[in-house]
Amino acid sequence: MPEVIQLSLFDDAWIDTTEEAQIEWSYSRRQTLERCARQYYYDYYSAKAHLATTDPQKENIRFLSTLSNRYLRSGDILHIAIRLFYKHGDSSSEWLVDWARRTYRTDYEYSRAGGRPHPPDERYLPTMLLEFYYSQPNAEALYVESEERLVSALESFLTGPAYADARYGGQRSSAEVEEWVFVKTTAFNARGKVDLAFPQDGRLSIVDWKTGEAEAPTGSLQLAFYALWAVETKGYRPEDITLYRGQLMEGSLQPVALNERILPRVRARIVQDLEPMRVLDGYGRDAVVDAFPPCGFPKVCRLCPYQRICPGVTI
Amino acid sequence: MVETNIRIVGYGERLYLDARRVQMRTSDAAPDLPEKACRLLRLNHGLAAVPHLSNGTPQLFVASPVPLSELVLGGDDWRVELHDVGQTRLYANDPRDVELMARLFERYLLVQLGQRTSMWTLDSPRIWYEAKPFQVEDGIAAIRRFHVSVVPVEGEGLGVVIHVSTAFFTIDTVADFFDESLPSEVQEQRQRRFEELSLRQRGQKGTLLYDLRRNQHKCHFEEVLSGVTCATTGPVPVNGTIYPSLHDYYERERPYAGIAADDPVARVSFPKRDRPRPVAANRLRLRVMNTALPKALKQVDKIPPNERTRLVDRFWNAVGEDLLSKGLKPGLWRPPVTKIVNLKGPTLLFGRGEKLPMPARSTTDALKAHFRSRLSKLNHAGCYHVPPALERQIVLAYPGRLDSAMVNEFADGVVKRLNQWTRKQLSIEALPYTNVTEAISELNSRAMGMVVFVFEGVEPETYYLLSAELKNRRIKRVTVSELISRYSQQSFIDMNALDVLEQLGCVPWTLATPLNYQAQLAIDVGVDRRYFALSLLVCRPESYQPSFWLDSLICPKPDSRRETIERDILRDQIVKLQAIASSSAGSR
Repeated sequence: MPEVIQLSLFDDAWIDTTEEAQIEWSYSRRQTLERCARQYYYDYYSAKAHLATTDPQKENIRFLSTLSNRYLRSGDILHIAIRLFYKHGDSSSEWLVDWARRTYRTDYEYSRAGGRPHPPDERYLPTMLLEFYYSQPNAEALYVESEERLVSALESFLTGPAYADARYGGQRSSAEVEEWVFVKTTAFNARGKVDLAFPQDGRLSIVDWKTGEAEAPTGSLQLAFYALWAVETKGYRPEDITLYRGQLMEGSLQPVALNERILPRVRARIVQDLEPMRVLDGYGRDAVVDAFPPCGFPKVCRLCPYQRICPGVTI
Repeated sequence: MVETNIRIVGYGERLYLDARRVQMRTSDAAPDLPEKACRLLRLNHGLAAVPHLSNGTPQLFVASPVPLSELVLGGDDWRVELHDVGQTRLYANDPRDVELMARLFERYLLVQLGQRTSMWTLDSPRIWYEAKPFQVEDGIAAIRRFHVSVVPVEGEGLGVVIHVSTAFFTIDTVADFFDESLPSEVQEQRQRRFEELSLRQRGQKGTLLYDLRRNQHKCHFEEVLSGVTCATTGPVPVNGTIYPSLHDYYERERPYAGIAADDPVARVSFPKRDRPRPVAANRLRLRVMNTALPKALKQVDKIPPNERTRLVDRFWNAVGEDLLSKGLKPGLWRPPVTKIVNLKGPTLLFGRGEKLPMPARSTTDALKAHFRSRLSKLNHAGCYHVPPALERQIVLAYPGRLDSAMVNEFADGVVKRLNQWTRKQLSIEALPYTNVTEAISELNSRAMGMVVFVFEGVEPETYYLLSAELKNRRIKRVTVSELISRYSQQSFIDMNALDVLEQLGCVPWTLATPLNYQAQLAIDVGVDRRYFALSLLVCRPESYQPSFWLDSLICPKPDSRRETIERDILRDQIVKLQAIASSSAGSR
C-alpha cells in the first residue's frame, strides 16, 4: 500500500487571528486576488474557521472550499507522485503512474456518484471535482482529458531525458522537495512551496514543475521568489542559482533568467501585492463581503468552487 | 476665436441613420460577449455594429441598409447566433438616439479607414498609424498617428474628432538586436541598446510591434531563443491547432508574411493570451517610449496648433471627403462665441497677507509671467501657513561616493529656500551611506520624519521599496544622475524645496476668495486601476479652522479589472481623509 500524504489537514493553523496579524504573501494568494476578489474572500477568510465568523454563508463556503477543479486536483496528485518518487527512488516508478491514475479515478467515481459514502477501506475522503458537482455538460470528457494529461506529465517526469539531472539531484539528502519555504524582511513575510531545490557543485538548482494548462503566463515571479528565498535564507549569491521551469507536457526543462536586478523587483512586487491585501484584511475578517467584487469572467467562474453561492457567477 | 479638431457631419441635427436591430441567441451571459460579436462583424464582414441594452437584454445595432442574414459567430469558448429583427431609424436631434448614433458612425468610420487608406492599427481600433515615418533619427522612426472618435455636439449634430499624436519604433528588428553572427562585443553593444530603448532595466518588459505586413499586433518581449529558427522550433500550438514548426504555421496561415525557414525566433507574450509563444524575430520592432528618445526626436511630439491643423487636413485628404455619404461640413468646427467661456484664475494669498492677482488680459505671455511671479512672490512674502510644530531637522541621505561639496551645495540651497519661505530656522544633516539597506536601517533608528533620499539608478523597485521600508517618514526622492547634472540650478533647488515644503505641512499660498463650496473632494482611479486617490481641498473664510487644507490619500484598489471603486472601501477612505483634516484643525 503506497504512502498517502495528507495535504491540508491543518490549513487554518498558520493563520494568526489577532488584529495585528501580519498577512503572509504567497504566490497562490496573490494569484487568487488577481483572478477574483470574491474568490479571494471565500478562500482566505470565510473558508477559514476563525475568520469572517459572522458570514451567514460560512458553512456553505467551508464545504465548497473542499471542491477542486480538474487542473488543481490533477496538479496536486502529480506533485504528490513526484514527491513519492523522490522518497522511494526509481524502483517505485511503475506503480506511481498506476497510483496517480487510481487516486484520480477514485476522485472521479466519488464525484460522479455525487459524493456518496466512499468504500470503508479507503483511508481518506476522495476529492469532489467541481465539474461533476456542478454537472458541467462535458464533465466526463474534461475528466478523461485531464487524466491523460496527468499520466503524460508524470511519465514525462519519470522518463524524460531532460529531467535526468533533476530526478537524480532530487534524491540527495540535501535536496528540498515540496518544502514550505519562508522569507521574512522588515517589509513583509512571505511563503511558498518549492517543488525541487538541490545543490550541485556549490550552485543551487531550483525547478518548478508545470503541466502547461490553466497556469500563469511566463510567471517567473514564483521562481524568482524561490531565488529570493535561497539568497535570504541559504546565503546563495544570485549568480550561483539556476532556475528552471519544467514544462512536463513538452518534456523540456527551460532555464529562467535570473540576475541581481530581479531580486529587488521581487521584493517590490511582494510589497505591492500586500498593499491591497492589507486594505482588504479588515473587511475580510468582518465579513464585509461587498468589498470583494466577483470578477464575472466565465473562464474564471467555470473553475471556481463557489459557483453555487457567488452572486456574480457567469458561466 | 477657437478652432477645434472636429469636423461636423453634414445635415447637422437633421441627420438620421437607418440601422438593423439584431438579437443575440446564446447560452453565455458573459458581459463582453456583445462586444466580441461586434468585433467579428467588423473584422469578418466589414460591418459596423454596437451593443445596446433593450429592456435589460443585450442586442446589436448594425449599420446596414439591408437585412442581415442569419449569422453564427464564435471563438474558442463562445458562440452566438445573430437574428435580424428589423430596421430602426436613429435621429441626431433625439437625445435618446444621438449617443448610439455617434458610436455607430464611429465604427462605420473605422471600417472605412481600413478599406480606404494604407494606415494601420496596433492596440486600439481607434488609433491609426501612417504607413511611413515622417522622421528617422538614430535608428528610431517617428510615425504620426490619428485618434479617431465621433461625438455628439450640441446644436450641431455629430462631430468627427481627429487627435494627432506620435509613436516611435526602432528601424532594427529584434533579430538585428540579437544577431548571433556578429562579433561578441557588437552583440553586447546591441543588446545593451535594446535594454536601454525598451526600458527593461526600469522594469518594463519591452513593447513590440509584430508586423506581418498585412496585419500588425502588439506584444511584449520575453526572450530570444538562441540558435532556434522558425523551422526548428518543434511543434507549435496556435488557436487549438498543432503545427509541426513555426515555419509551417506561417506557410499555412500567414503566407503573405514571407517568413523564411532559417529566420530567428523570439518568444513574446500577447495581451489576453495565457502563455507566451514563439514568433519570427525579424518581424518584431521595439516601441520606444518618450523617455528613451534621442535628443533629435524629443520635441517632435509637441505639435503646435497650426501644424495640427495641417495634419488633420492631411488625414482627411488621405481618407476622402466622401467617406460619409452625408458628407462633412467644410473646415474645422469653430464654436460660436456664445459657447466660449474664458475661465479666470483666482487671486492668490501669500504670507503677511500679500496678494497676487491674475493678469487683466489672458494672453499667453501674461499668463506665463503670472506663473513665474508666484515663486518670486513666495520668496518675498513667505508661506501663507506654517504649522506651529514645524519639523526643523531634515536628513539628506546620499551615496558616500558622491562629492560631499556638491551634496552640501544642494542641501544649503534647499534649506536656504525653506528658511526664506517659512521664516523659521531649519537645518539639513547630510548623511552618506554605502548601500540603501544600511541607509534605511540608520534612518529607521532615528526620531525624524523628513528625508531627502538621493539614490542610484531609476529602477521603480528602489523607488517603491524606499517608501515601504521607511515607514511613517516623508520622503523626497532624488536620483544621483539628476543631482549631478542639476545640483547648482536654482530651478532644480526650488522645485525640490517646494516639494519638501508641502510635505512638511506648509501651505505656500491659498486663494484670496473662498470657493463656492467650503470643501471639494476629488476621486480618481489610476490608469491601471490598481490605485485610487482622494484629494480633499478645504478653502473657506478665515473664521473657520482650518481655513485652508489640502491633502491626498492614495489607496490600493483590490479589483484592478474594473474602474469602479468598492463602495465600502471608498466610504471608509473618505471618512479617514476627513478625520485627518479634522485633526489638522485641532492642531492649528
